[in-house]
Amino acid sequence: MNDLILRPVERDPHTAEFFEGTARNELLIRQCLDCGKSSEPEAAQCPACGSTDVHWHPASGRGKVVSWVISHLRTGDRSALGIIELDEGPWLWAPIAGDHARLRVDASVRVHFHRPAAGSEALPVFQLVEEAGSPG
Amino acid sequence: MTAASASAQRRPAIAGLGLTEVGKVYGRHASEFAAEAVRRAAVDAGLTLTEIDGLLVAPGVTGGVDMGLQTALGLNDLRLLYEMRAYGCTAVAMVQTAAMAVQTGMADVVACVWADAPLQPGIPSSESFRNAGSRPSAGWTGLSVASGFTSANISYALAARRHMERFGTSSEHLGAIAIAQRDWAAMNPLAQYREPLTMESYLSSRWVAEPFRLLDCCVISNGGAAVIVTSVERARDLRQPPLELIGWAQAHPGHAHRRDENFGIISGAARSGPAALRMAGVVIEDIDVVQLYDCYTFTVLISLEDYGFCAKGEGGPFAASGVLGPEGNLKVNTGGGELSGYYLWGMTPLSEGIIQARGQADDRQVDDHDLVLVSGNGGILDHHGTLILSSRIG
Repeated sequence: MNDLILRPVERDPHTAEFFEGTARNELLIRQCLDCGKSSEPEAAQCPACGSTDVHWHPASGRGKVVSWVISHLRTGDRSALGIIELDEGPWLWAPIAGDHARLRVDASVRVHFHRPAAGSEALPVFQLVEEAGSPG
Repeated sequence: MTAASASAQRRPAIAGLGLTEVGKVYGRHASEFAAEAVRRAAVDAGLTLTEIDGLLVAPGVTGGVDMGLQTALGLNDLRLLYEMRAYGCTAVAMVQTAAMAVQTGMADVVACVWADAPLQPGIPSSESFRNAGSRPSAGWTGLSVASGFTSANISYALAARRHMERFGTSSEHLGAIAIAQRDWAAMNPLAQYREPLTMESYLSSRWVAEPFRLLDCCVISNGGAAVIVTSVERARDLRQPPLELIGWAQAHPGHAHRRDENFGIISGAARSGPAALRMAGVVIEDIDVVQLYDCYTFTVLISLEDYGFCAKGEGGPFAASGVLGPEGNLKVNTGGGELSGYYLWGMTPLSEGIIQARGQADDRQVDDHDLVLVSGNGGILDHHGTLILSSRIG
């Protein structure tokens, strides 16, 4: 089983720009205009240098698994949730789609966007990437 | 403890403990548990309510435990009053704050109280706890919830998975902690789960969020607890054996969903522990009894490592070596903790620490109980606090 269980989400003033991005299939993160370091979407201050000149920047959408869990719901559904390290460096907590048996540390993932319901914003979901010659 | 200087500061001590009925106790609001806990703590200490001149209050998830408690208790002459919130670190933080108020003379007798009532008849405990909290559908928290991060079980399981992958920590290692604490709980009349637990039954308990099974997670309880802090001098004349507060500290990594290589690997205990020991003038080997905040089996494991009871990464084999439990050499979570005893957040380890330090734990009393270490842990390993109690008062 590899169910994806998502709930609807609305934007607010802090997340509006981020969800504008997901609506056009872009994963927006922050990049510091002073030191160049990338940070999580919710970072209004650069974690490296403290600058508040952090602008929205599209991430590549590629990353790797840092940690994961299989959540078991009372309905019998199971969904994978994880911490993803983006190629740019930030960690995102997000759902993971794909065969649960292939979940492992450093597994490659790529972002996709899912809209749980009409009227909801689109959410980032990371798909496990099939890798030729991967060590399994 | 010997004071290095002839400080005029008063030495703080714990003089009272009040525990209400805990567990599936229905039909009472958290504020009622809170008021009862303070009344019981005052009786325990041999104080009248009007002798209390400081009140620190903290709610759980259902709220309602607030500054209004002053009025409910008829305390009209307080010199210290506020509501505190540091999640699972709150109980330790309240006692630390009360101790500093006593040291400076800002207050003489400070009651610290926490209470919650998430359980309702006919509703599974996990659901009642979950539904009691706010469930935002907007903002960054809304995105997290919509993505499926609906409970702390998932977040702590992510932390545990990192430790397991990095160090080879196994389910059986976590199970050894659950079993050891159940063995202690069997001797605690207040514990919610007292029947013996085998590794087989631990391993067959249902998955909640792999790598966590149901028996990796704490119980849920209704109830309240209060602790009274005063000076050593005053405590000597009261009803209970005084427990001096000789060391305390906090450490807040605060990694909350941001990149942090230490997430699941090193907790705030690694800094809070040594700082509290330094203040107390003791080393970890001197500690007789250990009461660790144990929202999950894994929280115990990482805390054992970070306090220095074993080396980093060796918490799993250490826990499985038989060192825990009533027959083991390290006396940890002797009332069953939050896993099998009762879940009053930070008041669970604190209350058992007080009972053991006083020598009042009956069947489960530990022989050597001069120095007791109590921890608090909040958020997703974001916040940590430590207290060191001494019953050996010079």
